[in-house]
Amino acid sequence: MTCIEFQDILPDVLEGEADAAHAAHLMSCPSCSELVSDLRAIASGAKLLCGDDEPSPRVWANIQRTLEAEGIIRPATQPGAMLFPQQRKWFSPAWLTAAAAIALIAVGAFFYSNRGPTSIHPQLSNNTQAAPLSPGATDDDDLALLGQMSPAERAFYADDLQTVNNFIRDAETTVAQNPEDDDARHFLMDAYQQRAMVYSLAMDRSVQ
Amino acid sequence: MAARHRVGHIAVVIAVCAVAFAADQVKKEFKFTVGQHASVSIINEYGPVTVKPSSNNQVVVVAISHSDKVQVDNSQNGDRIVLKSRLLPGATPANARVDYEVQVPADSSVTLHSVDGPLRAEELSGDVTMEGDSAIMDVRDIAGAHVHVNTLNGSVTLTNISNGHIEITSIGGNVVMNDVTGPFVEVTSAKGKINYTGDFGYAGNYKLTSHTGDIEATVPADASFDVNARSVRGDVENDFPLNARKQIASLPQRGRSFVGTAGRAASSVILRTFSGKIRLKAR
Repeated sequence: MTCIEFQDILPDVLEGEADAAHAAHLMSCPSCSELVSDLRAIASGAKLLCGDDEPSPRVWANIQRTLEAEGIIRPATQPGAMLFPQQRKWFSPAWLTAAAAIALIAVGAFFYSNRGPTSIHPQLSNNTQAAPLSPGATDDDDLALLGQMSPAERAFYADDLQTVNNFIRDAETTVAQNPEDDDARHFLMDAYQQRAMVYSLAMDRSVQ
Repeated sequence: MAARHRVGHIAVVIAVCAVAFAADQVKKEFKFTVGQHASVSIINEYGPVTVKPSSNNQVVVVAISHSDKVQVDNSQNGDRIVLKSRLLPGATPANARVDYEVQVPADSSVTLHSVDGPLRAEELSGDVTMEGDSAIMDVRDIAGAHVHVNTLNGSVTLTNISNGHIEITSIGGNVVMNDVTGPFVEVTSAKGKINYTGDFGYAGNYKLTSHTGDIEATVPADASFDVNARSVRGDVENDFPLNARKQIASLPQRGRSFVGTAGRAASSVILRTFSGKIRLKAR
């Protein structure tokens, strides 16, 4: 079994439905093992964040309408059919939050794999070690990202990261206070999307 | 006399600098013949990119580099064209600038990237994607296309976009939309202001979200829309005499909000901010 095949059935594995082949791969592959471990930790944390409440059917209906409006999915053919039944935990808020976190982990992993003394960004390669990190950095990913930048770029991106982190914090607080608040959930996803965009743009600069 | 000498010296220095600057400029022109719906990407590290429609099936790119610290690479694979500024050792934001002027068949999809821009695209019917850090972005006179913009702190202006599928993500840049309509218009900003002036079209879905930025929409008094506006911590203002919805799918949440319909509720409008102010103005 390859890692790609394993990751295809990752949701089942995480729900405890792995067979012998999956278990064998998990035992033999440190990368997948680490991934599953991280996902379980994230899912556990996300459940604490979002509480144990399932969202109302209205939440799923809103997501479905949005996806249909964007042309990502086709409208349901059966009247009243729900795209995301409540039993489908892969699309639960905990997993949505986890997915956002996974994206950030992937971004961080990619960034780590591309860092080092062989930077091909000439004007950035000379002065990335000198200046202290900005107080805007709030976690390891941020620190790693900012650590590769020139002082001027670091200030620029640190400010943006602080902005989106504040956004995330506000959204998380509101979700925690009112788990049924659809707006707060959308704010949270928007904020994570913005954070991912900051990372994407920063990494583009790092690898060009 | 001394002053005259000094002025003379300064003039000479300026002239020498101008000649040196001009000598470092390199202008290159690239031409590519393409079919329908070509894809054109301009990846510029520093400097402006302007895209306009051509009158034939050619993509014409004029690239002016300002030093020998940057090189323009180009490639064509079928109908996919890529031009990219490649930084060389010793490049800095000041000397790595390249100015691009691009003409493409109007139905081409264009992707533009620049850290500091500005980026501009006009009179196209193909998809437009822009990405930048502080680049000012200007998209105008686009019909029936996707417009995707990602910016950190550059301001974004969309003008006369019809039947568009528009997605804008900004951290600190303000977003201004004039006469923008589409089946899908979504703007998400962290702290930038969002300003919409238009009529919300027909059968469109508009969602404008900002964390701390203000949101202001100015629409004709006879516009037809269904609005749901909410600021968690900020104020909301509404000039329209909204009718109550027949079916309230979602009750106004805590915080300040207004919900209702104007006219026949042709388009859906969602306005959301955490601590910014929302204002819906009639004109």
